[in-house]
Parts: sequence; structure tokens; C-alpha cells
Amino acid sequence: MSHRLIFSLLLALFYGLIFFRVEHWPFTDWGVYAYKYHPEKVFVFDLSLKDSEPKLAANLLENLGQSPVTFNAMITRSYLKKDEEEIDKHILSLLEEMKNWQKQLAPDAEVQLILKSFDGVDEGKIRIKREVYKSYKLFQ
Amino acid sequence: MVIIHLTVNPFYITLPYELPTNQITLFQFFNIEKWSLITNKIIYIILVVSLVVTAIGYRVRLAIFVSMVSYLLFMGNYLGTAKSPHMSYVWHSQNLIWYLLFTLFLLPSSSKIQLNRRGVQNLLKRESYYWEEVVVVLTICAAYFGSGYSKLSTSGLEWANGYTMQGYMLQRYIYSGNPLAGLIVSDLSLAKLLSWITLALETIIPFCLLVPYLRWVTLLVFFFLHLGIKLIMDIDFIYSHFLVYLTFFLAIAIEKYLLYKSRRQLK
Repeated sequence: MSHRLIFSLLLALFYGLIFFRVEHWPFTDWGVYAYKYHPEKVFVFDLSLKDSEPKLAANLLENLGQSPVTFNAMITRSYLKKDEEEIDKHILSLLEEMKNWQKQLAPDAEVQLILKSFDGVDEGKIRIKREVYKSYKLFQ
Repeated sequence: MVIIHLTVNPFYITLPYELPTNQITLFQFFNIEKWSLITNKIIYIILVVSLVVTAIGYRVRLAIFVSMVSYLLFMGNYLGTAKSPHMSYVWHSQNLIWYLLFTLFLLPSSSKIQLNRRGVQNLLKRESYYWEEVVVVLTICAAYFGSGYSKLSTSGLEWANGYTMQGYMLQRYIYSGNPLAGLIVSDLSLAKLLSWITLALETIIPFCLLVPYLRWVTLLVFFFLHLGIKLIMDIDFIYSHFLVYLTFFLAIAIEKYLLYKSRRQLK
């Protein structure tokens, strides 16, 4: 195979697929951080155990084996589609995991889906607003 | 480097079987269902053995071909798990390895690699195919260029207005309370500067790797870029990305030193 042909083929493949935005393995998703953004529009979903055992409540998602980034991506997608049923489905699947901690939790234990957003900057310190988006009783 | 990365991270084998798997597009296209754990382990062993055989220099082109196919399948299976069914995001710290395997498979010099006395003699005698070095470097550059190009084509220069960087850093700050992310959020000028540096590092600076006297400075810059990304964003491009292509540049430097030494001895 001629050298020029190999050279051209490889460059056409790798760079051509960038310009055509082919974003499937083994060609990657280039558009991850490509979108314009504004800090005032940033919001993040998190999960919290209300008034509970500090060891369990801290880093609840990690304790459930969930990455906060993946959890947030899943919930945000459903939130933007205004699909409340899908949000409930995600959370309820996690609540099933938490039922294994029955002995360590109160019978009226409550899980809260928290929406965190930007609330301003005070003397260089960032203020984060926390609001409870939805609550779920663990043992219904 | 790839062998080391695979062998010290056994979760690549087991994670698809601990979490729900979401097929990547390629697998969906061929209706590939999730295979058994034992099949995954066999593909992993084939991958590692073929990479070792490549490194030793026995039947190199065949070994690279086997590595390329098994890496595509093995890592595709893993990435199908790392990806949520609700995201289109593909972890893109792994694809450079496949790009390089594919490139090495096609290059004429690959069949001449042997890690023995004969191989070294061949190395010292052979014609230096500079264009092969260029095509490997341009393959590495594609990984950065793609990211920079997509930012510019999606958002234009507004991506570098500082607010976008603040937005992404704020998200990171909310996740983890990272003080470096917080610092960038609270300083718009710093965010703007970092945005322009990011675009330059992705679209223009990688091609400095083609210039021999700029190469090592550029590599140092990319090391600090990936270190910063790891410290602030907690995204690791060092092991499966930076160290892999650094190995290539170290190999070129060693080759050139050996060639220089042999020419001096001939004189």
C-alpha cells in the first residue's frame, strides 16, 4: 500500500470524523463541554437522607455506588423533559437499595431529592441555594 | 504502557457485570448482547497477550491487529457500562489507544519491529520513515483538535467569554466543593483567561508536537493541562491518554540517540 495512501486514509478517517461529528465508540463524544453555559443557569441534583445517621447521610450517592455526575445527568435529562414519572423511577430504584440499611434507619426515614443552584457570591465566597425538589418515604 | 494500565485496573473486566450494561452504538448495530463474564475475561487475556507479543516484537502486525480488535470489543463492553442509558456521553480517555493501534497496524515499519539484536540492527540500518512519525503525531493531535473544534463549531468564540468556564466549574464546585473550581468561579477574568488557554491548547498547541525543538516543552504543557483537569475536574487523562503517547515520544528519543551513537562509532 503506498505511503501517501496510508497517510491520507488515516488523516481523512480521524479528522474527517471530527468534522462530521461522528460520536460513537471508538470515535469519541467531542461535544461534552462544547456548549455555551452561564453560572446562573447551573443546577445540580443530589440525594439526601433527612435528619439521619450522619455516616449514611454524608455522601449518600457514593454509599449507594452511584456517581454524582451520572446521577445528576440522569435526573437532569428527565427534569428537562418534564418527565416526573421517570424521575420517580430513578429514585425508587435507589430506594430499593437503601432498604438493605433498614436496621440503621428510622421507620419514618425520608429521602429528599435536592436541587442545588447558584445563589450569588458573598465576599468571594460562593453561595449555593438548596431546595427540596421532592421527598420520598423510604419505608411506605 | 497500555499493558500496565489494563493490568492494574481490573475493574475494566468486572464492572460491566456489577452494573447494568447499556450497549454502545456499535454493539446495538450488530445486535451484540452482553456476553458472559468468562467471555469478557478471555477477550481481556487475548488483549493483554497480544499487546505483550507486540511489545516483544514477534509477528508484530498480526499481534497489533489482534490487539486492535480485542481492545475495540473489550473496552466497548466496559464503556457500555460507564455510560448511563440516559446520556450520549462516551468516556473519551480510552479512544486514543485504539486510534494508535489502528495507525500502527497500517504503518509499514510495524512489521520490522523486533526487540532483539536483529531488530536493533534493522533499526540502525533502515531508512527513517519520517512520514510515519508525522502520522502518529497527527493521530495524537486529533484527540485534542476534536475537542477544541467542537467547542468552536457549537458555541463559537462565545465559549471563551468566561461565563461558560465559570458554569462548568460551578457545577464541579457544587459536586465536590473543590476549592480550585471555586477560585475560577469567583474570578471572571481568570475564567476567561483559562477559556482562551483551553481553546489554544486544543486547537493549535498540539501541532507543536510536530516541531522537534518544541516537542518536549509541549509535552510538559500537556502534562500540566491534564494534571489541572485531574485536580479540578477529577477527570483522569493521565494514565490511559497522556502516558500512552508520552511512551511513543520517549521511544523516538531513544531511537534517535541509538542512531546518533551508531553513526559516531562508524566515524
